[in-house]
Amino acid sequence: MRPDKEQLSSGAMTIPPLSVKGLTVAYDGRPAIENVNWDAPLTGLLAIVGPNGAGKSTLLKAILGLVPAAEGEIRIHGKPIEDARGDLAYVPQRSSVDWDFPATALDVVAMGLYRRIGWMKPVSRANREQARVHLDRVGLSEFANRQIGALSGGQQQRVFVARALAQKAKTYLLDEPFAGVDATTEKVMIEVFRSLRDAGSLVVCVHHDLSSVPEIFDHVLLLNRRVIASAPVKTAFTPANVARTYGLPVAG
Amino acid sequence: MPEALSASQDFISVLLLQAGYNTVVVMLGAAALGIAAGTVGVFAMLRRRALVADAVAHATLPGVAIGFLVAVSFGLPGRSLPFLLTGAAATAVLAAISIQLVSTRTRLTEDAAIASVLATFFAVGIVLLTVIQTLKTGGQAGLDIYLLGATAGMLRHEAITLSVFSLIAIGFVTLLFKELTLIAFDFEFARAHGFPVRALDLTVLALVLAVVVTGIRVVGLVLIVALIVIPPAAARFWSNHAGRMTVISGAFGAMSAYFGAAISAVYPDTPTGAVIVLVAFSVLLLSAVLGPAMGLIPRMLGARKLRGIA
Amino acid sequence: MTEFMQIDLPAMLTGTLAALVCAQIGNFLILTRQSMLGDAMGHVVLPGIVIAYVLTGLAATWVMLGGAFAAAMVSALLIEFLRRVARVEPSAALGAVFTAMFALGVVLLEQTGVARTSFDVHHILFGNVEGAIWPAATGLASLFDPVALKELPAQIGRLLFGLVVVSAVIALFFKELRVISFDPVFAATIGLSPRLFGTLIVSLAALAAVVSLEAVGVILLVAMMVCPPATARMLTDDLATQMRISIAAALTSGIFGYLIAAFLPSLLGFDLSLGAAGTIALLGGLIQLAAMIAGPKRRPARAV
Repeated sequence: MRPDKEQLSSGAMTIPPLSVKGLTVAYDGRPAIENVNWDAPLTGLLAIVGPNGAGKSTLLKAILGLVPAAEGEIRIHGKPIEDARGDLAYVPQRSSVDWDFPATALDVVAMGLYRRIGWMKPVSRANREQARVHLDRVGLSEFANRQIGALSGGQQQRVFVARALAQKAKTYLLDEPFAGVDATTEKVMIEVFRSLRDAGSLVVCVHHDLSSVPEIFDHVLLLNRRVIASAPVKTAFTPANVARTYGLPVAG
Repeated sequence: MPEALSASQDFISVLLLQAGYNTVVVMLGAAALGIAAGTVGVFAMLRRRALVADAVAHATLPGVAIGFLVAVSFGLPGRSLPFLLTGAAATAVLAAISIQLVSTRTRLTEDAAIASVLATFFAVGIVLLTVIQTLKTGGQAGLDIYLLGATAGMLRHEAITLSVFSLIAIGFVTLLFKELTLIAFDFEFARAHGFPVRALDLTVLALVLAVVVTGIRVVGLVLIVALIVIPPAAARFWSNHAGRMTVISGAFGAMSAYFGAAISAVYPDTPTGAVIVLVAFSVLLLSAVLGPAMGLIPRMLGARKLRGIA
Repeated sequence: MTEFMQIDLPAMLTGTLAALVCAQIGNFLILTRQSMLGDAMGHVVLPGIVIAYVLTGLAATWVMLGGAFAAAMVSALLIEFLRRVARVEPSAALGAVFTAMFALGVVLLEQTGVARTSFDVHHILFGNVEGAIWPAATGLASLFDPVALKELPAQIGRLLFGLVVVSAVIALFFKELRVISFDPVFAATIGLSPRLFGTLIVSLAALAAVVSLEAVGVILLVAMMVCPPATARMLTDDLATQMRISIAAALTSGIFGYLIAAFLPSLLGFDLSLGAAGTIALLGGLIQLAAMIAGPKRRPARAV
């Protein structure tokens, strides 16, 4: 097989995991984000920060192909979403699932394996053991057989993170994973995200709590319908940038 | 051809209320029911009670059967209206309570509660009906009309009773119009402002029950829900304003019931309920195309106008 | 024995097979909050069946299936139109369309004279389980006699076809249906189309409605789509177990419901007859009631 010329010259390693060009997404004719241009860093923990209605969740959903783009182009590891589903894992904001659904914590984590199990094949015992490993990583192995609705809010959030882990994706997208969770859950999730980063993944979180950005994250994307700044926290997370993002008067 | 001609002449004379006193009373009664159903329907729809209405309508069947059996056991003719309607109201209320209990006390969601209550109550009704069929009393056939409705053979005092019931329901809607509109459009606001939202919500449900019980004689318990949901849906195309929409919905309900009853008076074989529903649905389709508020044609014209400006 | 084989067995089979077809797809209807869809399906397919029958003069399975699916498609389009274009509240849109389609079916039944031939409105509403008879049966041996088996009522063949299709599709796509029902957004992110699987669930419900409708009536259809799965919901937190329990509840309702209808009144010395479809449906409802009162998993999860 002849090596692909382009791949040799540019090097697969430098293709950004997420690349957004000229993206506009509109709901009912009203734009939620406009002309967003953004290349995500190769690895790390990245916070998307911005005021309510800034289009943070919309950006994630557009990347995932859950809402259509009015204009613009999205590439995931250089590919369109249809070819990159296996590269992305997503944890929505407080999943609006039926908490009475007949599914245990382990069942939910096993759903992260469905893509790899493939069509029409049942979930095997080996699959369930794999799922158990991921449940263990978020410290919930003893709750494997608990019905999903019988867990606490924080535990439910960890189950959904474990489901994302089971997907063995390259890039993780989470919508406000830290909102309203207990201290243990927060600690566990930060550990998990750091280990993902250390293994070379990019973890993107929509994040609300400005004060905890420097302590948790490496990178930040400041968004208010458009990109205000995107860089390592040290350079981008400045009072002036934050003020611009939130539409406040800039001091000095 | 002459037959068709005479049928259309019949139809016109029925429409113009020249077909005898009984038919006139029946048609006016149907129109009154239509107004009641159309106005109550607006609030039922906005409070998302459409499918509950269907379930309680089906749940009147065991009540009708029990009413029949009770009347017979008193030595009265089985199909006497007060017994049948009392029975219908009783089991309909029981069904409404059951839906509430099942959807709040168990993990079943409201849709499952509605469907299972509908199925179980209707099943009781069917079992009782099959029992009644084998009884050695007369008048069993009279129960059939409660399924799909009939105006044929309706007695004068029956028609008057139904009209009075309908007028009472219309009176309630008129008196409580402001409050009912408020809870329908902004429940949380109404609650925050100290309106008795629970009582008002129950009033909507009670009005739905009243329309259902009143309507099963004419429209039938299988299809009465149509008279509650279709006129408001049609009225939506004509106005964005709650008050106007309610008036239009009542008018559409009255029109559908009036024309439907007239058609079935000319063709006595056709079940009145089915005809009324088809008339109502035609009004809905016409409204969807022509209605100025959201109809297809006005919207297409409007879109062109907008583009012209831009 | 011959009488049992000729009259009771085919009727019991009809009721029980219908219960099994409906209960299986019902599990996914109640989990996706579409319980009333079974009711709606039972109503909307009527005009399609009548028109197909009148046009072709045939009561063959494929004719009825074709007519029913055409009616279901028309209804789906009308409902979408009312919801999307007219912004009519979804349950009201459903109610408007299914009553109108049923009304059309009723008028067509009366006007075309079909009502006086094969089925009438009563059969559609209440079911005609007792209408399934097997005159060719002479005894147990007939079950192994291909000539006699050929004479089994046509609705049993239709129900078996429906049962095989519904069971096979659910077995093959069990995990996909589970994830779609539980978390459609997640399903979309792993490349499973919620729209496609939503359509699959609705299509299976339509198939179940078509094969059952003329044999057992709307009432048994609705009851069996909801009551056995709802019963199972009260008893387990595992979807596979829920499916198995719902099948058991459907079997119990079908077999014992028929036996009660056929034999209880005479055993008690009453000169009455009970409709089998109604009795089966009622038994399904009573089993659900028992599960709602005493089932270990009856309570909703606490709000979180």
